Amino acid sequence: MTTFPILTVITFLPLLAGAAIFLCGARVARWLALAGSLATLAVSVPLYLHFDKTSTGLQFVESVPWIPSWNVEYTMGIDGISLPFIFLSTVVSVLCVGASWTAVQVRVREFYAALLLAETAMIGLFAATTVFLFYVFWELMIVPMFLLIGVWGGPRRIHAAIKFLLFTLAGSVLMLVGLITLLRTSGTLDFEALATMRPSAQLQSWLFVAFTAAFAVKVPMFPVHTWLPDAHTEAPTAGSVILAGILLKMGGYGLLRIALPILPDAVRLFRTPMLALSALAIVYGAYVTLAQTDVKRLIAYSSISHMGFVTLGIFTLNRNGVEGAILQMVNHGIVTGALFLCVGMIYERTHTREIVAYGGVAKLAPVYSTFLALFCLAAAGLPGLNSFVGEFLIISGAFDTRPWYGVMAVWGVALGTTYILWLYYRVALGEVKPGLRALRLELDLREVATLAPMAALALTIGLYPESVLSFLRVSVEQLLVASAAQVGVAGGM
Amino acid sequence: MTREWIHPGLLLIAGAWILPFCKGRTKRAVMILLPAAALVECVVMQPGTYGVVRLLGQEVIFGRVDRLALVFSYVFALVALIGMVYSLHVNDDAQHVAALTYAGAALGAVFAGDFLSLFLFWELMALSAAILVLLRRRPAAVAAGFRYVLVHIFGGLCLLAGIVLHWSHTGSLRFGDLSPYAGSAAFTLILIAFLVNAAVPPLGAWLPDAYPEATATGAVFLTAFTTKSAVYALIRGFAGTEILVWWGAAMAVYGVVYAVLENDARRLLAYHIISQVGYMICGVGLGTELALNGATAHAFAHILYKALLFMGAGAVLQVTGLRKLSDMGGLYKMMPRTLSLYMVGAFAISAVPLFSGFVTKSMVVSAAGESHRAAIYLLLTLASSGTFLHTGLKLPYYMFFGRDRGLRAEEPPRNMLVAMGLAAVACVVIGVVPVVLYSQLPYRVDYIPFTVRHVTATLGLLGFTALGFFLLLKQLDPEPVVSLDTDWFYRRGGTAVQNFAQGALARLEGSVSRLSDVVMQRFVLGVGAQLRDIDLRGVDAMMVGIGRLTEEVSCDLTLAMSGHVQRYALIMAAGILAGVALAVFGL
Amino acid sequence: MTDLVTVVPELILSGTAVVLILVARRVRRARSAAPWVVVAAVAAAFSLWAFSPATSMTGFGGTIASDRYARFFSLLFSGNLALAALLSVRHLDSERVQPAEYFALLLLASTGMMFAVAAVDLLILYLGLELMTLCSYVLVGIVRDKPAGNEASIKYFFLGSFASALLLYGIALTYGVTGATDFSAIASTVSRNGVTRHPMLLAGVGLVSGGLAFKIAAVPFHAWAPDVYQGAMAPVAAFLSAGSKAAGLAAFVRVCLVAFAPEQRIWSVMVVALAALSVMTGSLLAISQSRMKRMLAYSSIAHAGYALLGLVPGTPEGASATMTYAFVYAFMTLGAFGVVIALGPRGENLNGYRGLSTTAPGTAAVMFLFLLSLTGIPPTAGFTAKFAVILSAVRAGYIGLAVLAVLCSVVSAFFYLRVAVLMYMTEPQESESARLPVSVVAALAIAAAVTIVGGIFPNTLAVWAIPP
Repeated sequence: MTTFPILTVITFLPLLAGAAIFLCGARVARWLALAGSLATLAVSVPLYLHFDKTSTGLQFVESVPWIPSWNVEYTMGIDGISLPFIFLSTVVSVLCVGASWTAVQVRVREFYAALLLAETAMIGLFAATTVFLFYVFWELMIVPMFLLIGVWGGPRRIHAAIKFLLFTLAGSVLMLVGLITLLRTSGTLDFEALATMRPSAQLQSWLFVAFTAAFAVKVPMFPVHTWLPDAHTEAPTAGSVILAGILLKMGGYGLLRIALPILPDAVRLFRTPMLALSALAIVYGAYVTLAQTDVKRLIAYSSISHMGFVTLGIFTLNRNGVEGAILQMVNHGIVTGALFLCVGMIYERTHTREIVAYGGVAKLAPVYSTFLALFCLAAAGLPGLNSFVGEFLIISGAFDTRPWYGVMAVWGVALGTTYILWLYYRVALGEVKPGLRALRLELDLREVATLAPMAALALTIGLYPESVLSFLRVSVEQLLVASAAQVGVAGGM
Repeated sequence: MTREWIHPGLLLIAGAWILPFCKGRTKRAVMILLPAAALVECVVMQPGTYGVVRLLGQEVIFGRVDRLALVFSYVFALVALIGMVYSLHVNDDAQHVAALTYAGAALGAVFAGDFLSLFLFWELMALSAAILVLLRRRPAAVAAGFRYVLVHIFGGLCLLAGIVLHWSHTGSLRFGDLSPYAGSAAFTLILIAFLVNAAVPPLGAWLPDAYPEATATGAVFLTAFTTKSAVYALIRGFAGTEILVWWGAAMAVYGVVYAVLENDARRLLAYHIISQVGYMICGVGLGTELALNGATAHAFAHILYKALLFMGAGAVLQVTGLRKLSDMGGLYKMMPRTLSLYMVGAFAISAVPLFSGFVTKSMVVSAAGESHRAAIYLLLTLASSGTFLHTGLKLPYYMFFGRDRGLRAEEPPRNMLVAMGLAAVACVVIGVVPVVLYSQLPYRVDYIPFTVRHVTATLGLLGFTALGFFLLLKQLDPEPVVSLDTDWFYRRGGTAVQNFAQGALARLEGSVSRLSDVVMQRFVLGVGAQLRDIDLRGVDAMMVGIGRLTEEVSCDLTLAMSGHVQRYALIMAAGILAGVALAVFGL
Repeated sequence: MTDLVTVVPELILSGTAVVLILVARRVRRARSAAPWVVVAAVAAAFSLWAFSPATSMTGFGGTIASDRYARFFSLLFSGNLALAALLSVRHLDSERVQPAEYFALLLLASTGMMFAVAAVDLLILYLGLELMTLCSYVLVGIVRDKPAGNEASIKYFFLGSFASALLLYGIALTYGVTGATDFSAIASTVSRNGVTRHPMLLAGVGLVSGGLAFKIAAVPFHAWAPDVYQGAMAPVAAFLSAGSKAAGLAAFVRVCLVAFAPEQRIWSVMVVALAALSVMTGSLLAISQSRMKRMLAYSSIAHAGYALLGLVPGTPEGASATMTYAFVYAFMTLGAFGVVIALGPRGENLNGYRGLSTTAPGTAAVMFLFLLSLTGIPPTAGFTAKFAVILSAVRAGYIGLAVLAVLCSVVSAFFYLRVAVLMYMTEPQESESARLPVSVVAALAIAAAVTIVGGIFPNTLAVWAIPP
């Protein structure tokens, strides 16, 4: 436990930077944003150095009384599950600043302010240890994303922004009722305290429905996923990266943080339908992806399929599955984020997202297509790159509990390989499209510098997954113990 | 890491990415140096276990180095070197990167000591190979490439599923002899996966389908790695599996029959790979020391002479742009060197004494004989006569001699000839001093190929085959207008065997490759398009519909707010009445 | 003498009003009059803490109480008055309204509100409300040459008098049963004589609630609000939507909790009905509005519903939630109306907000804040207030009601943030951006401050909101 409120600092540093941007002129906005996000990244380093991988409890805990009338405290702390996501958020934010360096030319100050506000929301969400704070940051995240999509987005940005807003809001208000009910019944909103007390099975089911409504929209799970393609497609590059990199993870994180430990009985009750939905999302998403003609849309739908793996892994409720799910979330953040960066970079030059407009890019831009190849292979779950490990864990987890869902997942992997390679073939290989010759497609140094960290991460995690898994092992163990424990036992503890 | 050790495979894979960034002379230097370095490394490597990484609570062994692995690594590295030399003149980074990655992956698979790393490189091989095919950038090539991908995804998934099952049963990921688990689901799945890569019919349709479509240089790599690494894996895990004996023998004949029917030079050679791999798989199935040695040795030799043959055919393709035997002829004047080098390969594959094939294939055949399997022995012998017929006689005859069609051609680029020369030398050396190879084999070899009986028998066989060939030359003369590969044959009408082959087998083989098209087109893309529409018109429309509904309700309600004060008063009155009623009677 | 102490703020305000009327001829410009009103409001607010002891006390024969409940709302009304005055300055000069009369009416209306919340006797309550309403009738129609205003004022008058009649009738019935108009007396009599189920009394409860529901514009007593808000000057609309709603709520809470405490079962059911109807109707109707003030009117109906949620359980916590909500809502809506006023004629129409963020980024940002708060998105006061009232609804076991409420808040998000969409995501038609008067800026700043502080430190409000 440090006396220095490091989590609070990490959370609100970007906000300060955002405020500073408004005070200073538009010229320095980019540099301020870069400085702010880098500073955040720097400050977060001690987290990884001083993190105790063996302890099951929360670490770097801070607690300040906040709203006594509702017995709500401002408490922050992290464990092995939240740490990877904080890392991801900080890294992704830096890259987003870099990615929009030239892409964003209008309202630069507002853009970077929104970006940093989003970073605050993300980090805060992952650092919060009470449902109330979790919800506050959850809702706070909606605002900057709404603006990022709507103001700096593509032609149909308004439609996409409103759709995103209404979907996410509709989900999260139910969570609001859920957490209020939780507050009323158990008198506290603290994660750890809630994990020890069990509401009645029936109440749990209702709560599960309420919370999962919010999480499912964010993940997104099958029937409520349709906001994602529009949002992804219309958002500016940085927006898409944040969406894919972090926002979608909030849902999965919520399931791990709230559903599993606090509503174990309900989780067991709803397990099969959730597994079915996940498997459905995997295959369905993959199929729809195959039929896309717009690069960003294609990647967006592939996200639906990939996040299906996450929920599948979570609801296998065994160690491999859950660890795989967390890893998969991190990997998906890296890979899909990187893919969106790649798409954005070439879009800046060609101003088209239609796949047919591309071809033979490999000849024109070897470096670019090298990166693209790397990330495509990673997305395809090529062994040795990061996604493979997560998917492998999830599939083995599924095979241990419900083999048929494992089969579905494998089928999803097959389709995934197909569409991603096909995408790569159509974009990078094949005949060189005449229109492209005139353009300078090759990346410049800044862009390489933006993609390189992602590539490094993809390789590192792919070749040495322990670098992530070692952090979350203990926490996952404890999580599963908690969710597996029977009511009586839990009451006794 | 137990000891200092650089994985030659990773060396190639990583090194490959240097290529896009350097130009001209340096690039060529790198292209040569990388595989050379890998080769040297394999040669100096000592048996042992290296590169152990803990992963998912399992030991992942990237370097399980023993005699078996070493033999394969030698030849893989060697052929990688030859192949790079052969493709020096090609200016397409993508191809080189893919090729090197492919070779590296093959090496990785050979050194893999556990299933995880095996799977890793296994998939990498499939992908890089597919890209090699795609890179010919012809519609046909693309189609073939995707069929290839499809088949190998299938194989890879079988392997993955098998691994997962194996892991959950035994709790270990170590890749060793699997015979103890014979019959279990994991066993079957993994076997299927290996057989797919070994191009065992009917799972093997991808091979003659994809290889001929690859680029002239890419084909050289393709012939070497996928099938042989599968053979390696089979030797490792499935030695002595009975079914492989028959399957392998059948395969040997099947390949030959098709090669005989074939008119496209490289397709012919491709079928012939199947036949040759048949020998090896048969050897694996026999499972005796001699048989396994034979399989290994034959793989070794085969990689070299098959590469040589493909290089020859590729050279012709490169120079003339022709693929069909029926279009060629009389090239011997223009390209004598190519011819002579090709013939070395042809003799080697036909197991002419003093060429490599003779000293290796015979091991398998005799192994069959020693384990008293007359039928297998006969089949294999029959196949080897067919081999000579088509590779040793038919192909060179139509390609280089035959009727002169006045094609203008010259020798291929020098680097091609050099590469072929290297391979040819290797074939001859092994043929003349077999001990060079024998001493490397996994088990002790006390086999003497050059017995009088053996040599005479072989020569007799070859002689009669040759005689038959030249007698039947008229019958075999390919149709000039032939465009399809195998259909000229039934127009001529042939023997019952050929009809059978044409009918049943061709239909089977054709249907298998057509099946993959259907799967890709209808069941994958078709379903995808369907679901996309459902997603737009169904799911999304439903969600948006909720919004629309709300808006309409709102509009209807607005009508009630007419602005007439009396109506407002009415509403209030109704409200108060309801309220009072609720208060008085309701409760 | 001690009686007067209990009504010091009211005295200050009415005194100022009288002075203004006397010097009416002198006062030509609104700019010169507004400060006095603000000063009076501040003085009143100050006096709330200065002159009255911390403990609650009653005066005038126990008909007027000066307890912390009354003080809380009086503070709200002073703030409301001050902001309304600040916001009015511009319009009065443009619309050629007599500033003195106008401000006097504002002051007297506020006085009425204060009496209404301070009343612990049904008759005083009635008087206070009437004072407020009568002034409002005039205020709505104060621009003589604007037909819309006059029509609105007439409608308001008709419906208002209807509602007052209901209220009075209810009072009469209650008196008939209990023989008392004093709140505590009513409660004690009812419980003592065991006339809880007396139909007269029940009818009285229904009528009184109906009359009060009119003041807070709860469905089905809401119909006047849209027309009135749209017809009246923007500042007046703001004043009413914040003040008269708060006054009505305050009266409602006190009457229900104190006078009709024994009838809790009945009125809480009625409150549930009112709340559900208001939230639904308000949110739904607001969607299809294209004029800003009308939309805000419907949103005010919806918010009346949210505020009533707190009253459902009939517990002190719930009541204080309602109080907080009324307070927060007052400042949110004042802020929103403030932006409408700041934009002048352009602000009346939704299309006027196109591309506002480019022409007037500051105004747009503040408006966005108020919209978020009205939607109930953290970390704004709107969220914490909504949280509190929904919490009390859930406490009472009305989870379905809570779900309905939050779903309606999604609907409301659509029309609130449609304004944000216009401001931020569309191109401006005319690029001219008028300089804002200092007074408006000040008003907006205060409203924004309350909105933010109330959102981040909800307790600052919660500790003051002490139910009766």
